[in-house]
Amino acid sequence: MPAAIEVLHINKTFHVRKAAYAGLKGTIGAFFKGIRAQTVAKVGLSDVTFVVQPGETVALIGGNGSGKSTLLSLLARVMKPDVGTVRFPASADADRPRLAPLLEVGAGFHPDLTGTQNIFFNGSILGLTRAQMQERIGDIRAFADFEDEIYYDAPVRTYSSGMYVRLGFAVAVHTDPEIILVDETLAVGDEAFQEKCYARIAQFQRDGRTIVFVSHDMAAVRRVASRVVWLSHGAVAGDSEAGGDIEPVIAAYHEYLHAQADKKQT
Amino acid sequence: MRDIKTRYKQSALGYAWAVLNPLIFAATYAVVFGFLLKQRDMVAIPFTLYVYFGLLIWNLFAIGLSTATESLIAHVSLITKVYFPREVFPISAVLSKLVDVGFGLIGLVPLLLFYGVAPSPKILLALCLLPIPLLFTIGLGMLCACANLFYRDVRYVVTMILGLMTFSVPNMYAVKLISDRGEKAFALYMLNPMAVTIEAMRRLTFPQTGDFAELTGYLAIAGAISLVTFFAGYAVFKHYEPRFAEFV
Repeated sequence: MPAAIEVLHINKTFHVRKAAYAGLKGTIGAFFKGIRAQTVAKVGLSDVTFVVQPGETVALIGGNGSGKSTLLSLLARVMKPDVGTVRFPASADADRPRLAPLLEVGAGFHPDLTGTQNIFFNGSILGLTRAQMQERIGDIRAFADFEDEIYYDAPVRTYSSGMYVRLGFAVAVHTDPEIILVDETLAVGDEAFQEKCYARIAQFQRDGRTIVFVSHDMAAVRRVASRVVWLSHGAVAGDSEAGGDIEPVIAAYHEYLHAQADKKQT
Repeated sequence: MRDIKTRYKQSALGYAWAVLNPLIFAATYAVVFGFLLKQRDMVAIPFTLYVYFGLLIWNLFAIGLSTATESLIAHVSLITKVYFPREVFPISAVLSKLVDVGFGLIGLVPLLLFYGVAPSPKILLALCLLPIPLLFTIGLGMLCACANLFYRDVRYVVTMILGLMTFSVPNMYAVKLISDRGEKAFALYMLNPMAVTIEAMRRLTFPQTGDFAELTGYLAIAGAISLVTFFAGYAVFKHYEPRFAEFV
């Protein structure tokens, strides 16, 4: 069976410009000083390889700045790796899978449009037609489950952050994705909504869809993940592999964190 | 994708602005340039009408270009989160201004009635020229949007150049002012695709303002410039597109 996600030897380096030379002014200034604008190469990911089979739920763990979000961005095809390939062999189009990226709370909502308008707008960004969205709008509303119907016709800038997530999540899970990418968004809804999200994730798992999520919440990781990949300084430091036990990797990660904390204290 | 083009922009303010904006400017120009600077004597139709019509097309370019320039920056959260072809932003920014042209033309009707001027049926032909400013604006828009992502100063430059460029199209003054300066001056002036398009569309709609046939050669050049601008803009945009998410 072809893999759902195939990440092979990817490298990603960011070139961070020193603030003084940022922008046009900086470039011109640097030019007149006879120097090139100084950039600092910052390694985002180095030689990361992992293959995800369809139906796996992979949790990416690691400290801040370890490259988790960069990796998700590469999976979402928002960024391109400098070296290496990211492919989706199990998808009909191996370069363009049907993705539902939940990389930020309600990413891509337009503040001035109403909830309903944003449902259609977001759906079209995720590749669905108007007719397809029309069929799903009832389900989406039922999932978001706002207390008052009137909010669907209010601009989303008037929403609370909880409502934002509810709507964003509701749209994303109704787009029939092959692969779902989640970046710590679950934590914002109330408990009832979180339960609903977990139920939906379980449904996705039963349907054999592939999920990759980033989390610092090990309870959430233990609850849903079938596999854990630990990133440290842009490289894979631990991988429980498909079907393997996730606990040793989590334990190793915790050990590493403690060691780091101890190092700082001494 | 179609939804984005039609729905996204233009939601907060009413379409009345599409008429009010050129109307207010036309009235002001009519007083300052038409009346005080006597330009109205050189134009065969009421000066307000002359300006209003020209501004409809100029605004498509000017507002379209400045919106397109900001379009990538304005959608940072989308660019860093979801992948889809990014040219949607500058293109939809410009196309949404086409709606303004439509409403502006509706606003033209009461003006025509008020002044008792009848447009030629060739106005339909004039509308067929719209792809020229559209391609030109979208091409420049893609270039500027891209540049603005890397250098945020670009939007100020664009605003400034657009301000200066208002003098380069025949809205504040009669074209006769240019053609009186000789053949060469006129030819040079008409190298600006926006100047040709505005003048050509106006001459088609109001044949009394001048001979359209005189402009066909310049129109061909303008069409070529627009096409080249469009494809150049698209090529540059696509070249830098993979790096957008890192730079915002």
